Amino acid sequence: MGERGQERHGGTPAEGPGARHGTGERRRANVDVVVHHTLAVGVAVGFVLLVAGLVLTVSGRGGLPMLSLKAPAAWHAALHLRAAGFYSLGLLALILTPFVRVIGSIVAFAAARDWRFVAVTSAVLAVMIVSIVIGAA
Amino acid sequence: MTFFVLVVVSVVVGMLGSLLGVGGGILIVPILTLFLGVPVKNAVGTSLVCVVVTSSASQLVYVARGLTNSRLGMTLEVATTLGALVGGVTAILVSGRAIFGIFAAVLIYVLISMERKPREPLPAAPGSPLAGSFVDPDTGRRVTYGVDHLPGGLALSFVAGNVSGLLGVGGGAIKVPVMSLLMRVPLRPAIATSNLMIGVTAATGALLFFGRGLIEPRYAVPTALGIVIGAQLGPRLSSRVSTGVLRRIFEVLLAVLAVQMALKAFGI
Repeated sequence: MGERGQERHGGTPAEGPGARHGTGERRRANVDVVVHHTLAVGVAVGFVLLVAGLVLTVSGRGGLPMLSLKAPAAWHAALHLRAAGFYSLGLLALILTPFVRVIGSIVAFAAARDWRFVAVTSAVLAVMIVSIVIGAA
Repeated sequence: MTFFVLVVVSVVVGMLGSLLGVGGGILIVPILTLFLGVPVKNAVGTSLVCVVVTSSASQLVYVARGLTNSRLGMTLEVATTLGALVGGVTAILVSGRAIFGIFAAVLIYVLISMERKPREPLPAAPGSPLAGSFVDPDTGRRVTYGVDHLPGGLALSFVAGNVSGLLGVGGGAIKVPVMSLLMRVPLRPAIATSNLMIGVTAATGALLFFGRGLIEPRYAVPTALGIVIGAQLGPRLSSRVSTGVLRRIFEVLLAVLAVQMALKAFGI
């Protein structure tokens, strides 16, 4: 693979004068921008929450737990500035980033009136929701 | 102590992964189980988090370059997420020794697939709704491509999802050849789209494992942090290290781990 580094930002590559399907490409570009922001925010939030957890551990507010807390308990613990809450929320943020990305893609496809892919992407979301339900059961 | 060892190991795995285009899962599970004594199912859960993180971090680059084909990725994901769900449930139910055995087999498969020269067939004719286009960095020209053999691609994507949910790996070693050789998608968009799918697939498995309490913060936190740091460092080091040498080191590592995992499967 020869692709890495540089041009991290800036949405999609510039269209050359020879670009043909104008609106189609622009719609695709919108999907890409939504996805790009979702990913960047998701990873950053997860990372910051985990580091916050470490800071709390170092300042004596709980160690690295064996069991992760479920979302409501994690939220509660985080509000009370317990490290365990931040760890669980941070891991959840990282895991949920692709989930939010899938939702973002549905919204972007809907905005582009691309109903076929709204349906396809919704099916993916449905399977992810089933795995949340089975996991929590 | 384990915490720092895990951070350092994951930084290295994250760097290797981003430099060689492989997910971290294939290394994280063997390292956690063989050297740190983590039960295999908890190792799979931890690894799924790392795979999600690796995918998200790499997608930032791929999406920015317009290489990811979201339509193709999401279509195949219908099959892959279903596969991951089935694989994840299977992982929770089957014995740890079975997971070691299957893992050893997959390690050997990845080793062989890394040795194979990537063959790039002519892109399929555009025209399907899944068709995409990208700017080839070598020529600077926009390449438009179509997609062939969707039913076969869907079937194999289900298998890739299965492997991912069962073993906590990304499954890119299956997805890239399926898209490139069978569906005739050019290699660059195939790699980027596979990477998108890996994240969504691993997240499906990870959500299942998280709910089951198989993602333990004491292992997952240091590994996730290390992977994020390593994935950022990797691309910055790429001009200074030889990918050829890294690839050799990685292959030797895979071979050693394959033997170890096979021994575990036989209870040795």
